[in-house]
Amino acid sequence: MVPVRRRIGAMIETPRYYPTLTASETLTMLACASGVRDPDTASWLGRVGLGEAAHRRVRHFSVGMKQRLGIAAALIARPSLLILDEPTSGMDPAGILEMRTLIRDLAAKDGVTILLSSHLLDEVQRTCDRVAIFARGKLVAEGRIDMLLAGQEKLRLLATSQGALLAALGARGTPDGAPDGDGVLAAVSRAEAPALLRALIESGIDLVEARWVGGELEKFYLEQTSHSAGHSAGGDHAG
Amino acid sequence: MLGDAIAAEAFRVRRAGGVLFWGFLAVPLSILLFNLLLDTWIRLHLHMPVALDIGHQMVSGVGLTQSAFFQVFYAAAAATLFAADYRWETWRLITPRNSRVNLILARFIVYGAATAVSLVLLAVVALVQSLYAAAIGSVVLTPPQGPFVLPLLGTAVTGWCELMVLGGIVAVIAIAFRAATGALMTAMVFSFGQWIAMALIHPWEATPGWYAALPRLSAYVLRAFVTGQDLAPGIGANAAQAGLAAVCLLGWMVLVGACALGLFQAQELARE
Repeated sequence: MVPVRRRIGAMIETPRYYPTLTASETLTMLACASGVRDPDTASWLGRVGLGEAAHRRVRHFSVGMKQRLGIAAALIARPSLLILDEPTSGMDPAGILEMRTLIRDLAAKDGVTILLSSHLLDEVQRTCDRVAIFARGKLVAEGRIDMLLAGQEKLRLLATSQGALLAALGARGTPDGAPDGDGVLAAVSRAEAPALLRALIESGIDLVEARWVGGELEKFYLEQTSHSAGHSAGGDHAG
Repeated sequence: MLGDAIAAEAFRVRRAGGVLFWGFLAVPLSILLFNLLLDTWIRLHLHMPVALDIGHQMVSGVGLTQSAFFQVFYAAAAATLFAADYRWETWRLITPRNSRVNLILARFIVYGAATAVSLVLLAVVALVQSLYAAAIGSVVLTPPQGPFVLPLLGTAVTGWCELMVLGGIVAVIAIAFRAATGALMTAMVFSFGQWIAMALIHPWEATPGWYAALPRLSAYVLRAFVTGQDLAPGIGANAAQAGLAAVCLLGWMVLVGACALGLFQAQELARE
């Protein structure tokens, strides 16, 4: 059982540490317990952005720094599966960006499979390849994010004349109803979009803006769990 | 696997200077300081050097761990070792990396090793203090009167077993109640309670039940047997008594160790 567990790294909730140890000593001690000889603690601390704080006692760390150290601790035994629970909790925007990059790198370059559990669905959408949504302990949706959201997207167009735009789109166009303007939602696929835009311009419509809307994981999640309470979402990052 | 757990625990304890000092070094160092001051005072005020058997002095030095007062320090160290992961909520960090049996055994082994070092230091302290006293002229050293190596080893091993029983009791309470304070208080009550009970019975006529109930009595009888001291004037410890005492002391060690292991194996650690 333990050999199997050693192939799994995990950071569950906000990790706790022995306050008398430094970040480097914490990793050394955990590496010892995992049977790892000569752990490259400096390298792992550098990868999670704690290189400068390697010799500071953990008791002085902020929540975000403890989160980073938790990820380094989970990685010190070079696991093939990494389980992260809210890894960006307590981090500033720059830290969140660094963590997202690290997670993508671990999957792409190190071949680590990452299971990320989070309620920050925008972060899940930016980071993960696949997602599984649970409601009341039951799986309600699972698959590649782009596939799950494929039917959700619409092309939002803004033109100098909303009437002319709606007439040109016909049944495919509907006013978006947004309070901030005269946008029109076009029900077209991404493959059809270039031809549609070209046709609109050639027909003399002055387009001001064209962007995809509606492909948010958050909206999809709320749709899937609309009748449930106490939801959770998790992404299986297969790399 | 057990080696990994021991290496990790030893690494952690080496970085915890407070535990090392107050738990395992404070007793030898305080005894050394007290004796050096006492020898100096004797030299300055009495001018009557007395004969000192250096072998007997070392045996007595190692035997000081039978003091209930000194045992508090070792109990405090054990409480810190066994309850630290509850206090800092770090079991979740360490339990996925090794088995629970190994993690608890590693703590016992590290505690036992540190206690053994502390006992060796007590012998060294007795030697240093004797040499200092001879150097300043407060005593005149005499060669050991009779064999002292076996009594010294026997006293050290007996003291070590007694401290391991104490550490085991601390471990059981620390694991059961997830707290160091309760474990330390229980150990103190256990230690001083035995001291009081010992005053109420006659060790030379104690029944096997008393041996089983009081590891302190077992250690006392074993020490008397290995050093050849009397339990009462003219009454020495015989081999049967010593054998019973050894079995009871070892039984206590196994019992408290097994209890600590069993409790920890069954413990819910998702809540800390």
